[in-house]
Amino acid sequence: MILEMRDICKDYAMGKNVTHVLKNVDLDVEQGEYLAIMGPSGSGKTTLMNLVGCLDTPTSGSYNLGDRDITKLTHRQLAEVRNKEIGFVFQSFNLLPKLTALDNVALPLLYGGVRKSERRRRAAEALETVGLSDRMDYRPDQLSGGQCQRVAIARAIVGKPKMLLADEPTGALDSASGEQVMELFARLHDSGATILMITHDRSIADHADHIRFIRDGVLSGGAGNE
Amino acid sequence: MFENISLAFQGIWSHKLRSFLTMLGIIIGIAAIITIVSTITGINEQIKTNLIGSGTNVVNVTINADGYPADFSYGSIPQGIGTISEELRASLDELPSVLETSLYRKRDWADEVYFKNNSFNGAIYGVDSHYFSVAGYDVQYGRGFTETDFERARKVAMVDDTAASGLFAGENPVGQTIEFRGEPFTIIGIVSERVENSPVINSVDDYYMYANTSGGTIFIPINCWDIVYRYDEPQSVAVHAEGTDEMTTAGTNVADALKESGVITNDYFSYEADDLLQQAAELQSLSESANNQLIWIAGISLLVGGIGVMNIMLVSVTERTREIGLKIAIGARQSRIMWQFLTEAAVLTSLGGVIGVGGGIGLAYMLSNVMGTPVGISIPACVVAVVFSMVIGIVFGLVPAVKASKLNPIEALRRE
Ligand SMILES: Nc1ncnc2c1ncn2[C@@H]1O[C@H](COP(=O)(O)OP(=O)(O)O)[C@@H](O)[C@H]1O
Ligand SMILES: [Mg+2]
Repeated sequence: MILEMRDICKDYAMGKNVTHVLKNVDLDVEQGEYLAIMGPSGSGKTTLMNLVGCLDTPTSGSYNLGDRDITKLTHRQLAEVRNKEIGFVFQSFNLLPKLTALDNVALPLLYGGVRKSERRRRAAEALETVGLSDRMDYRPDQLSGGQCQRVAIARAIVGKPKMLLADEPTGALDSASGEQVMELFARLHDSGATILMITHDRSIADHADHIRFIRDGVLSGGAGNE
Repeated sequence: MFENISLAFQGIWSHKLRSFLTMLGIIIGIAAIITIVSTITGINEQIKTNLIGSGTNVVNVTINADGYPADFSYGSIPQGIGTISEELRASLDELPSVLETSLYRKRDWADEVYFKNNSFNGAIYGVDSHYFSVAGYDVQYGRGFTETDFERARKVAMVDDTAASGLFAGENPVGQTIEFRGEPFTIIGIVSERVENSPVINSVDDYYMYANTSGGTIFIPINCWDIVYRYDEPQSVAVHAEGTDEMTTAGTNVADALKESGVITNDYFSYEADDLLQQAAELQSLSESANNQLIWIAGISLLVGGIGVMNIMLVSVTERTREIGLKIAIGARQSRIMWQFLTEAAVLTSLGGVIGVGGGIGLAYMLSNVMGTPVGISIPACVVAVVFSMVIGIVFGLVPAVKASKLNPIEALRRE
């Protein structure tokens, strides 16, 4: 088990009102698993994703990633976990507009203290994996939406993280490019990647091995897909 | 670090107008300070040059009454002031820090000196054979005083360039006769001060171009002094020191030796050295204190510039919230985010500082052309100005940089 969440709650205090966004969530992800979490808008998917991605801390509950107790880490250690063990893919790509595809992909390695020549080599390799070797020197505004998302995926896998986290990865794409991205995830999964994907779209969720459902902050039991 | 700097330059370049407007406060402040400092430095050098005679290193040792320079121009020399003999003068040459000394008598306002119908209103010096070498004069035209001129107390005179142009308007002074209280003296030559940047003078006409009209000096052999002014003026000693820094010591040594020699027996009077370095410093501090107030005003411009930088950096942090959120999400540490913004602010203000230094130097020269103020570029002042603008960037960039590094990545990524 590379991810183990137990009894996770997340509350937001809005003045005197407290909103319970996540309610006693248990989540396990195994090495090499491809899991989709599905739910309607406002159900707490992104909130859960932020907790898994160590961008936020739970109000209560325990969270182990690999052999580390995430709830006990300092700011600096959390930055290192995000850098080395998690690869984020966002709905809106979040590429830096002034950097080339290659430099965007190499960014996590820069923060990880990798030497420049090594950064370029590994970033080029990741771009090759997503099929964009011929677009290395393009800036985001010179690429299509689907290509941008593939650059973002290359950035997510360049540091060889334990787990890929994707929040509505096809949400901003037309169906053809969305399909390409899903094929890419399938390929990465086949070569051993652990993927946790969040979506509200059943046809997208169907690409995963397993689907779990979230509604009003409650994550219901897992069910095998197919 | 290096990467941050080059990124900062890219950022500044991609917002050229905005960056320039942000830098403007810094540019104006630094330019004003550099202009003021260059002018102060120039004026100080000019004061020193004028007072000390551009490195001629001459100190005058004169008679003081009760600690203040004595003025005998409207009376005769009081009792108890003797004469410095040539032997005593020669012994002064041997004192430490002293190169050579010379005896002279002078009267600041000449009376009854005429050339034709023009009366002369400058100074009269009676000098010995060492004077021109000690005080740093060169014979530019005609000849100098010879041994015979002194021995026989010949009625000959030399004029400096100012007197030459003032008294002899357009005529060649050499060979002309002037009258000192009815005594005719023949002009034998023209001397001029050995100024470092002395203009090229090839003819008498050049003198009239170069010299100004007020006063000037006429020199006669000291042996002739009693012919015209009897013993109305006491002897002074001009001392050529070994260097500018030795001027004070040389002057004091000569004054002390003269006190010990017993030339003066009247306790009210004594030989004292004119402390020109001291006088220069006093004048300099006067000009500096006037200008220091201007520097404070320029400092306000820097403060305003700094606040402008802080403001634009805060805008920049807000604009780049998503970028910052993304960087945090993929593992950038807080310190890295902070340094990115600090570097950007520091590069921005340093650039402003460099432009300001350039502008200030340009402005100082422009002022110098228009108003005739001297310019002295001080390299340390320029370096300090650039470093100081960098510090302004770091100080005023701190708040935006810390704000950026403390952004909540979730909020930051949610922002559209
Ligand atoms: N910072 C916050 N403060 C208060 N409420 C929040 C905050 N973030 C999210 N929420 C609330 O939590 C719920 C779940 O949000 P989110 O996780 O973004 O849902 P989803 O991603 O499934 O659409 C929403 O009702 C939202 O209003
Ligand atoms: Mg969401």
